[in-house]
Amino acid sequence: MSFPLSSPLAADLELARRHAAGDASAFEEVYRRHAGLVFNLCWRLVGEREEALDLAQEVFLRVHRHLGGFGGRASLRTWIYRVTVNLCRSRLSRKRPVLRTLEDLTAPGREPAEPGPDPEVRAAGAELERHLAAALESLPIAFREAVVLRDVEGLAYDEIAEVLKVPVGTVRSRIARGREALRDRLRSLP
Amino acid sequence: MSAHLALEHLSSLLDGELPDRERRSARRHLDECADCRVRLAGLRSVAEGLTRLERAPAPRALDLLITGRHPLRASAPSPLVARAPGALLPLPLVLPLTVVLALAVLLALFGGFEGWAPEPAPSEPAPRAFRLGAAGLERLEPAERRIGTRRFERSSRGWVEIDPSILGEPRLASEAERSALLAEQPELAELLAEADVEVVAVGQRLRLSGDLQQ
Repeated sequence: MSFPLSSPLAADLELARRHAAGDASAFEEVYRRHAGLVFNLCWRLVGEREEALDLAQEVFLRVHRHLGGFGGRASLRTWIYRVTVNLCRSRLSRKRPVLRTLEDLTAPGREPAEPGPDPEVRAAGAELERHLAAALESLPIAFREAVVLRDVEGLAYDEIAEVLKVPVGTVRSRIARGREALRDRLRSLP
Repeated sequence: MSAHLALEHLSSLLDGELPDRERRSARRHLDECADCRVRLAGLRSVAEGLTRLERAPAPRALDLLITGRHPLRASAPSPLVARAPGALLPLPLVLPLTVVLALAVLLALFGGFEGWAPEPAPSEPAPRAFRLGAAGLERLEPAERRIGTRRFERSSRGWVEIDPSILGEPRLASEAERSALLAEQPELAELLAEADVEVVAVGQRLRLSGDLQQ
């Protein structure tokens, strides 16, 4: 298969070829382009900056090892997103079962309180961000991945489907249900 | 008026991911249905809030680990990446690593761990050890040390003592502890009976363990 030299995929394949040939500046270029993306995606999926740093290292170790075999079936960005999501998922699955304090469990957010007004009138700016970030962590991982890839990373549905290796319809459903769950959690704040 | 719009339709409408025909139909419904407009507004506020979540640049520690360069001194020689896979660790990195490892060994041998607790960097964790091996860049696994009955784990803050009297491994709570908990919080009885949740004791604290998301 050949691509116009100016196409993004051709550029990705050229980077992979240079890496395989021992041109170390190729990997550095890949790192420069994707470091922020990888770190932020890890951060939002696992919820902790320190763990995100650790995972981001793992992602680039894996990219370093396998970049030479990158075949261009998807873009390099999509491939790196997929590596990142898979590593985060694997890390989260190895964690112990959720341990929550009783205080957490009986916090107002878990009580079947009367729903308050919608989030847009409840809080603004940093306060909403803080609540959203916390609510995001509590989402089931499948919903969290879809919502983060869409709303935080700005990917289109078909690219999310490629990253997660699920049909577009599943992506649509996970995003919708994830957003609804976040909305419910914000509405139940005191 | 037709039935309310499905959640997936509302969410996809927000993303411009509905086909033209369905989008026009959804718009017509929304003109007439306040409930769906409210639901859509809630979804929109969540999506917009998420787009505004803080995005951080890649930490300098990551730059240093992966490229060997400080981002503000990008013209400096790159000791790691500017080498083909399988190359030896460059001398500028061997020396500091050797010194750090030697210090760690000396401290372990002479009981220095007790007093060695470097202050954590306030905003960014310290980089971890690494090496360039035959398979490329490899991170050295976090270490654990035991001195007598005391256990230490290496973290980004240095060696940290794991105190079992404070942390310890979770154990299943005794019947007496469980009963005391339910007497205090009877509303938990239903959850404990129906969900895959157990009362566990961690040190002196009682917690619930299991998938509380179900």
